[in-house]
Amino acid sequence: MKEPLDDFEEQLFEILKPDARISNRLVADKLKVTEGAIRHRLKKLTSAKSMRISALVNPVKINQAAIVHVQLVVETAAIRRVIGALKEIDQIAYISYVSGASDIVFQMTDESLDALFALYESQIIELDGVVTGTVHVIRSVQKHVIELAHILED
Amino acid sequence: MTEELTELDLKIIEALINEPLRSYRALGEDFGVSQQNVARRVNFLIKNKILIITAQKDFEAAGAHFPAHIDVFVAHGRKKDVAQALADLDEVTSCAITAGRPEIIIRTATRSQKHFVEFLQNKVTAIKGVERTETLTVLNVEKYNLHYATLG
Repeated sequence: MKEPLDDFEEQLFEILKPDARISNRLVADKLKVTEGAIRHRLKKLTSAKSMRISALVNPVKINQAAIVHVQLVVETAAIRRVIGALKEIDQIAYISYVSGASDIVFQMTDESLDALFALYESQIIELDGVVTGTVHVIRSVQKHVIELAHILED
Repeated sequence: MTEELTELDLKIIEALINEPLRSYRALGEDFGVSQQNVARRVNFLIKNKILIITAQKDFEAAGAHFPAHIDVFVAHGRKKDVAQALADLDEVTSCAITAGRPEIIIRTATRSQKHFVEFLQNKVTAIKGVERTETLTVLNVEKYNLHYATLG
């Protein structure tokens, strides 16, 4: 289980949120510590996968505005294999193994719904072990918290 | 109105997604332009809310140990109001309006199963217009490569 950030690390996180390219020197000045202390703490947090620096882009501005949310029912013995195949697809940025009416949930993004439907029909629903799938077209995103992420092992 | 993105802008965006702290000098060398030119384009992208270089905290390190997806089925005519009410809840990390049924899909981050049950029973189902919900509990996040953000 990952440790929660301590008070100093929370302060560091708050400084980096609006502009993570700020120099360690400036961060050190703000927190009244040495540049080395900042470097050390950043290394600790990123190595532990507790924090990461990310470049995030507005998808509409780069013609990636089509989003679908997909739920798959998969034969139990095939779940790991299907997840492995989905991981290889660039348009899929998020995958979870879930418990409930479905087994796998994922999100796909591309320049058009036509492109996403073509991908779904040619590469996903035909995967061996997939029983059925439901595709939900996302019309608008009301909220998306960007300060949190699932930072996974490589 | 913002100007069109150039090929260089798209290359810079892709490079920064792969390596957010890559120096302007190195990016300039990558793409055969000056580092001043790179700095100008990055500033343009940030100023126009096309790109942000930010810090992200891990869900677990933030104390959110029980992630889930909830399909929210909504009474006719209440979709936008319900979506706004859901978006206002701290436990909701993502709230999307769909083109069909369920009308809304949310992702949630709660501390525990107990916290989740309280959240679902006391907050979500209490919203006027919510007819019913279906929950998918996340057993394991397998890929999280979301580099998209709604930047306003």
